[in-house]
Amino acid sequence: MKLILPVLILSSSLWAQSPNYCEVKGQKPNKVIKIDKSPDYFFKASADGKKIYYISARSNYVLDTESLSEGNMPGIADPVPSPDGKLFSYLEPGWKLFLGVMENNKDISSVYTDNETRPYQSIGQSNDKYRLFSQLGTENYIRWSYSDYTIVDGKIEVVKRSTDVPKSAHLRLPMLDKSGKYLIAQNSNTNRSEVISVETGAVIDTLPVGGGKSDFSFDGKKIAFHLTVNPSYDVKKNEEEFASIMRQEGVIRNIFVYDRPSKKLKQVTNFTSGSAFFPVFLKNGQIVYLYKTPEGSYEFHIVNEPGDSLRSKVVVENCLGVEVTDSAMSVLINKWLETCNNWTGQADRTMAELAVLNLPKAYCLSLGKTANVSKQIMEKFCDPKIKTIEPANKTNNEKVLSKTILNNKCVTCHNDIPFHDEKKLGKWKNKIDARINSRDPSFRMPRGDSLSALEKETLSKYIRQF
Amino acid sequence: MPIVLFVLLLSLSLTASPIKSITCLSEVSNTLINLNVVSPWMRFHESPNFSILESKVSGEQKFSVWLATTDIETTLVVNKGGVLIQHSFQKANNCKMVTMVSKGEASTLFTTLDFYRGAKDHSKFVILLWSSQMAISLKQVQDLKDKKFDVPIVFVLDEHASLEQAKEFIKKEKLPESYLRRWNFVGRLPASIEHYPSALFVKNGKIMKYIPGYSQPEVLENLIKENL
Ligand code: HEC
Repeated sequence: MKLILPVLILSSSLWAQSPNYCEVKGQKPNKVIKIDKSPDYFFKASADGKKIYYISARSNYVLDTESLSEGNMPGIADPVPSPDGKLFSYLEPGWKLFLGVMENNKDISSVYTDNETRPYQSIGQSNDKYRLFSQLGTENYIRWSYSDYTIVDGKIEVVKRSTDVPKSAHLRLPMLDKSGKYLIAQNSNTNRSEVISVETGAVIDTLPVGGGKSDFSFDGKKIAFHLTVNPSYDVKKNEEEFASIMRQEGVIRNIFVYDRPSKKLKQVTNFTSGSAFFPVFLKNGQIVYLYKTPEGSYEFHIVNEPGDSLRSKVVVENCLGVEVTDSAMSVLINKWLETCNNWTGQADRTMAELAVLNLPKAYCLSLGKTANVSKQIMEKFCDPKIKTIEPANKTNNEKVLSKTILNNKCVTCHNDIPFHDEKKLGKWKNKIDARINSRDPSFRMPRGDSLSALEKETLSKYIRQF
Repeated sequence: MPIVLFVLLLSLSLTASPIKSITCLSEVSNTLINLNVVSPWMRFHESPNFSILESKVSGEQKFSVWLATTDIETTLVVNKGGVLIQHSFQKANNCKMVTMVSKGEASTLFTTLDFYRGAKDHSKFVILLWSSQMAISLKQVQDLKDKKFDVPIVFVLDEHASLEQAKEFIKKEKLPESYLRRWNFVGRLPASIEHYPSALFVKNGKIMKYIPGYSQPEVLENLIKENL
């Protein structure tokens, strides 16, 4: 008790209820799978999410996410399936890399190895050609190389052997995308992640943060990773609660997604205790991550990717200019950090920026007011209009076409979804969007029917405005 | 006792300390007042980038306070009967207090305090973060086992890792218990710190560079030359 008291007094300044603009909402997992073992921080999933390949105490395992049955996989570490699930790579003692032909997402045959020490492997795929990338472990400099393989009559054949990736010396934690054409890695000079071309080493994209080991979505447009957030203690009036906070561990990790086309960083989870880490994309856009509970047990969670964040910094800059945006942003971030208890610490200015960009308009304006930023600026900041204005009749056409699609292709099976109530549709937009754009035929809507690319795009755009 | 007196005593003790300036002085002072720290500082150490102060151990519960200050932040570590409470005050964060309460005995942890104590003894060193739950970091530990470097390498365990598995590994590899000290650091670090292995390059009490990922011994040697 004596121990708690002094600290409690100190934190009394944190007691005030946080303003509404401090709320950062996370996605709730669709599925939670508890596991008994202590898994390593490296796992992969089959494209359909039915299998999770993980390591525990120097052995590889496969977990069926539906029956929850478990089996052994060969190797001591780093079990990696190809995007189509036909090739499987893993490490054996001595960190030697092995490849096997995989069937039923779990049965391995026709094993191949060149007996090289090659950690950090990942597999990309283009048609029937598999690209395996790895770091060579025996050189006295960090050498990255890739080899291409194909499977002929159930046997692995080499198409192209050990080709070096020309790269800058400062890149770390490499991971191949699903096509095998690009890599993501962290630049230790800038502490930011970079997307580079495997063949030329050219930097294609720089992320606003350093995500460490990251995972590409199947279409290559999104990148998922975890970031560490230093929690401060959002202390409620209750001493008992505070005591329980004191027992918590100091560091919390949460999942983030970077959307490459819009350059938006989106927060996926918002755990304030426990840790979510090492996310992996499924083909349907959902994300699997490992969660360590505050009690220290482990779970795999499957979660939907969140809907788009509200505004992109690029769009705000386009609207207000870089200078005004930067100075307004800096004032807003300071205010946010000062008044919100959820995030603190230098590294978390990025988080604060993200939170500010994701505030609903009303909260965004209220933050601006509290921070004394001019109303004219805040109007544009909180609701930036893209400068190219679309002709009215085009928008109208889109609406008509969208309503027609919904009437003809969706309504028949769905009296559960308020397709014609624009007020209620907002709640459904992410679900609808995910369904119509999914690549997984068992998940994709309309069931038993299809949409053309134009129909998809139009409906997607229409739905997202709510 | 009236607050005024505390403040007086405190500012006396802080100004009487041989340290010229303490970052976030008023926030740190307030905290010390609330902790009833009025006893004079026992030991101090001043180097170009940081200064440390240590209080007398007092009371039945063995209560001691320890302070490190740099030009960007002050860290206050309170040891009360073996439980460590770390407070960090960063200028960049408007001196807002961030608190971390350590799980477990101080001797099983690698805290901010250990960091600065290390910095006091070694102008340059490398912290190597490893985890029993990251296979590649075990390879890193194995590969560095019998290697000698120009600067000390301090192995620190992931705070989330299974201690049981870590102990098993240490035993099998015949490595000292000190490898089991868990990372328990409050303050400013890159957001993606939690990848194992990771190396932190420390010079004069400052983290010069954070490099995640496996490094061959020769690569680490070059990184030491490059960054320290
Ligand atoms: C032939 C029947 C059928 C048609 C046509 C159909 N759906 Fe579905 N839909 C289903 C069924 C059955 C489910 C539930 C099974 C599942 O989750 O996959 C479902 C689930 C959904 C869900 C998820 C509901 C939830 O509660 O999470 C959404 C959203 C959805 N459909 C949207 C659409 C849209 C939009 C269309 C038209 C483009 C459409 N559906 C057309 C049968 C249909």
